[in-house]
Amino acid sequence: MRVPVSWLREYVSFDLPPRELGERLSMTGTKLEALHRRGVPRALERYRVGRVLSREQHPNADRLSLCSVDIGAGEPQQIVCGARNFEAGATVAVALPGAVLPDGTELRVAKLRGLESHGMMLSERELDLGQDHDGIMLLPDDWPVGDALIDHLAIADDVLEFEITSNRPDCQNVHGIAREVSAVLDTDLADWPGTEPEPTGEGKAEDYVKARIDAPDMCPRWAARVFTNVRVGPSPPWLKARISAAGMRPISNVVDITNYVMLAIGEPTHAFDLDKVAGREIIVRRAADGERVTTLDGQDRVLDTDTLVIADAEKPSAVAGLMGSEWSEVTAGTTTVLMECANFDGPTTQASSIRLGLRTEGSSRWEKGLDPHLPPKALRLASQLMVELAGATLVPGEIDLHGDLPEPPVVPLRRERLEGLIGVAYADDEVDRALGRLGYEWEGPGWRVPTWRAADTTREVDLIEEVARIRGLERVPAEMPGGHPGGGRLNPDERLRRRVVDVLRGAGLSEAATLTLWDLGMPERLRLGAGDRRAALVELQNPMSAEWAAMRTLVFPGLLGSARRNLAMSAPRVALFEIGHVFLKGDGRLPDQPSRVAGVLAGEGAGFFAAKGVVEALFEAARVEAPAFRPVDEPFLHPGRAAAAGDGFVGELHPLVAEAFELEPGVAVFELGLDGLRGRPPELVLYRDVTSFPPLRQDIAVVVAEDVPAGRVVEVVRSAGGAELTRIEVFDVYRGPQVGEGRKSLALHLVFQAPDRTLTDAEADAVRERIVAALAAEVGGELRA
Amino acid sequence: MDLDALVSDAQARIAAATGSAALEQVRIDVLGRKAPLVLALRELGSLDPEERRARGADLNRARRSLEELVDRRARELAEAELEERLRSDRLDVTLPGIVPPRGYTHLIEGTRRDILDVFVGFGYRMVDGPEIDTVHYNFDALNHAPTHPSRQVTDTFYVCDDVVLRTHTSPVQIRTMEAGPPPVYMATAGRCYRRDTPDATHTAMFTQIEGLVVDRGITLGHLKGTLLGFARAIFGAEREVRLRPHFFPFTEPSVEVDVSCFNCARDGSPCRVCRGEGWVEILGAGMVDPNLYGYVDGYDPEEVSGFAFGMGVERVAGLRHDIPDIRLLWENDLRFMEQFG
Ligand SMILES: [Zn+2]
Repeated sequence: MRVPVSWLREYVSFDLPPRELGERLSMTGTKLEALHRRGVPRALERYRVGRVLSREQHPNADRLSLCSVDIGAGEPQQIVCGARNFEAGATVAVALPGAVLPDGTELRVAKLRGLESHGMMLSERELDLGQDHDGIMLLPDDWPVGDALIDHLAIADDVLEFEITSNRPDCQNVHGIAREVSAVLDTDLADWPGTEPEPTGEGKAEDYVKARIDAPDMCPRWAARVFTNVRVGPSPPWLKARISAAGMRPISNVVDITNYVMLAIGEPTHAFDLDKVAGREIIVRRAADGERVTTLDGQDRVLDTDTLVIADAEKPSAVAGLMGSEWSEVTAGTTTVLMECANFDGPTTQASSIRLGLRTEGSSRWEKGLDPHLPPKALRLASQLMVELAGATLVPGEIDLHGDLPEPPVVPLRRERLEGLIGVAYADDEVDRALGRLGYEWEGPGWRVPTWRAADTTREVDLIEEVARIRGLERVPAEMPGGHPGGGRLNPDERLRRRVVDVLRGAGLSEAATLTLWDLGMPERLRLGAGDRRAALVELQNPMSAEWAAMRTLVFPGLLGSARRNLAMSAPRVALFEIGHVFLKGDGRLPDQPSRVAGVLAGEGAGFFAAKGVVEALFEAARVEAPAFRPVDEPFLHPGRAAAAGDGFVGELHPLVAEAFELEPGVAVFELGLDGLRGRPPELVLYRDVTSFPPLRQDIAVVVAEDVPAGRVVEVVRSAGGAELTRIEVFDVYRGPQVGEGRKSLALHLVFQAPDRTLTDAEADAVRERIVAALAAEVGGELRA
Repeated sequence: MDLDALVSDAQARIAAATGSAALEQVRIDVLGRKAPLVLALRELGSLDPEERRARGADLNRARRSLEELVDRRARELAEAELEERLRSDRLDVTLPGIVPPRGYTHLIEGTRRDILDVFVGFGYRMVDGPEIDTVHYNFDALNHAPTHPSRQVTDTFYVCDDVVLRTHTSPVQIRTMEAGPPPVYMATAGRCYRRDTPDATHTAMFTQIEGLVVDRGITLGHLKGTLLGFARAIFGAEREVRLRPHFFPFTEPSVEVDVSCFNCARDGSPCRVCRGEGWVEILGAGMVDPNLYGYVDGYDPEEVSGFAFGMGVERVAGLRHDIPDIRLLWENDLRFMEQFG
């Protein structure tokens, strides 16, 4: 909301400079977004009201006039002028040498075709008051010659731009902002603007137009007045100045008046050319399905039954609250105007606005819900301006259709509750004045809410908010809550997450954050089969782009793009991981959303075993027994270089998948559920004596057939070894002539240890013999000499 | 034989020996088989018993002291010679070390930890909530009017008519209150989603941290004190906070919270961070709207009151580290990440 300071001063007086005022309002709930300076930047005294004493043809130029202009004090000034829209006697706006125009140009005494010009008579556009540049601006003849122009016309203004929160449509107008100012500064607010003109027209309003509301749920109130003898033309400069400063474009006096009323008091109003209203009949009704209207912006729009229209006997004349139609538009030839001041339902207007893709100054007010008691105030102000500015005759009477209007509530306010919630003591007077200035009235046990706040203020806590903000939050003391029970802690998930992050970081992987959203082609790029649960994506109904259309079911694919980009920037080695949720369709209303950790290793040193080592380190750090790494078929992994690991996997990318992600072969990935890393019993490790009795170490080399996995050999050794065999490590694999074709030799490092005694060589040898026998029996293994 | 003269002469020779070889020669001369001292000891047998005992004690004492002296000198010389050898075995210590592979913490993760740790220090318990949640938790139970703009399909991602990608972590407020009675001191963190066109300060996905406190006698002053403590922990010990009234559906009163600028002298001169205003907006907060208690059991607004706050982790990270565009945080460029370790 843009509020010209000169306009604001009409409703409330204040001494603060505009920026300070804006800051005070920021601190009480009306946030100053920006402060604009409009119009003449400085040297305002160089702008005067002048009167043209004479106007003659310039002797040396056909298109120029030579004028003598009275500027009050001193000699009349000689001014050369190019405009032709005035005669001697005209009252004009004069800029004298030394004046600075809004565009920054400084005016000097100039010689035009040999004759000096001591100033300039100004057009609207030169003063940034409007678009009119056809001639100079003609001022009312009762403005005293020699007066400073700024005393009559806002040729320079500060404009405060506020952010208005959605609960405060009452602040989307200058008078509403003035009310806030009056409360914050504890000063008087002017009455609602507008004085009733004499209704001197013929007949009565209802003689000119019949109206009815067919959809009262969407239109609680419809009111209008009729004006005859309307002369459509340009608005006077002051009105143009205000509308322009408030951010709208002046159009014509009648349209500008409707906008002025909206900007002044917040009621969007609409003017119909009554002669164009078929049957001189207004029906406020739902549109028929498929009914069409051409709105003022020239768009042909198709309506539906959830859209409210202001129709005449034949067709819609306006989409209620949004925009009028071309065929009932006020134009230069209009003489009879029907001025509508209604109340439209907020949600209805909002929904129509979204469906039609049409948001206007009016709809942005309606959608938040406006006071149904505003129309009479709006009609009064509009009538005054129609009579004064458009020469209109007000027809007596008005149309005002409405049912019972809601009575604003009376809300009690307990002092102890106020002070208990805010933590500050308030004096009686402070509370009363804050609420009084905002329009609340004390009535019996509580405060009568003003009609323009009835939607927003219904409970005690809402009154508490009003008092607290107006009296200022600076005085609220900063304290820590006193009586809390302690026991702050990270939850187990967070502790696990941190452990995982720290382990992976220590293993040389960097944490990444990738988008949780996928395009729908991702399952295909990952070669996921139709039956794969991870191919059934949770899709968005309203994605922003095809790129982000569904939720991920795996974490690692997001890392592949990051890896590729880093490799492309010539990182020799890329190792990334991410912890996050995946989203799997389940039986419940919400998808399953487990946490997973995934990693990618690419470039130097990448490969299956590098990734597997990271996974093993993770399990070790989590103090969870590492799973058996069995070969596994994952469609996105190299079939010969992939292993299942708990509820996840580790492996090198399938070359086709690598290609789809523009990566070289050999990139390794892993992904695990965090649940699988959660130790049972959580976190608690019990002491074992590992130092009192030294371990015995022995190495063996066993030759087995090529197709016997090392994991199987380790399994056999472990089960044969018993409790005293505490550690087995495969430290070498050898293939060659010494072990024969189709065979391999595995070197194992064995550690024997007992918690209660030092093992003897004889004991260790006995275990070793058991192991050798088991290897021979179960995997055909032979000890290698 | 003058024993004293012999000993002092030997001491001088031991001290003067400048190398292991020279010392060995001295040892042979003063303690060897032909050394006068040793010969004198051998001749003791020819003396009468009384004289033998006295003379023997003197001679043995002299020999022991010289032996010790030789040993000590030998150690000294050996050390000196080792030093000499080591000094010539010299590395260029300015060459780079062999660095183990390093991984970096993501700035979002690091910031998230820093913030959560502050609230854990204040006695909050951490809880989690789902990223895909129902309209009930995301909007209805948070007192959003049916027409509230953020419900619109232009603002919120819908999975189906009553399920959304959560737009904030605030649904965890309701889930936490459903899970148990007051008092509540809760913090939560996680990803949220809004249909914002990405720019330097917005991404469609972002990370939020939320706090909720409900207890007897909780005031707006407690909110202010809590956020002051937070601001000082995260932005520096000198910081102040201010509360500006605002509107959120699920708090009343609602406030936006500014922290005093940490980048400038706050004298109105141009500043990239606060644009000369001296204050930087960091989060939204407020007193829990009593309507929320109506959606859960066991919370009587006449008995308890509370506050809640929510902040964007990327925004805090961006402010703290002077990052001009938070989209950088989602690019995972190692050159960017390296800076923050
Ligand atoms: Zn600053």
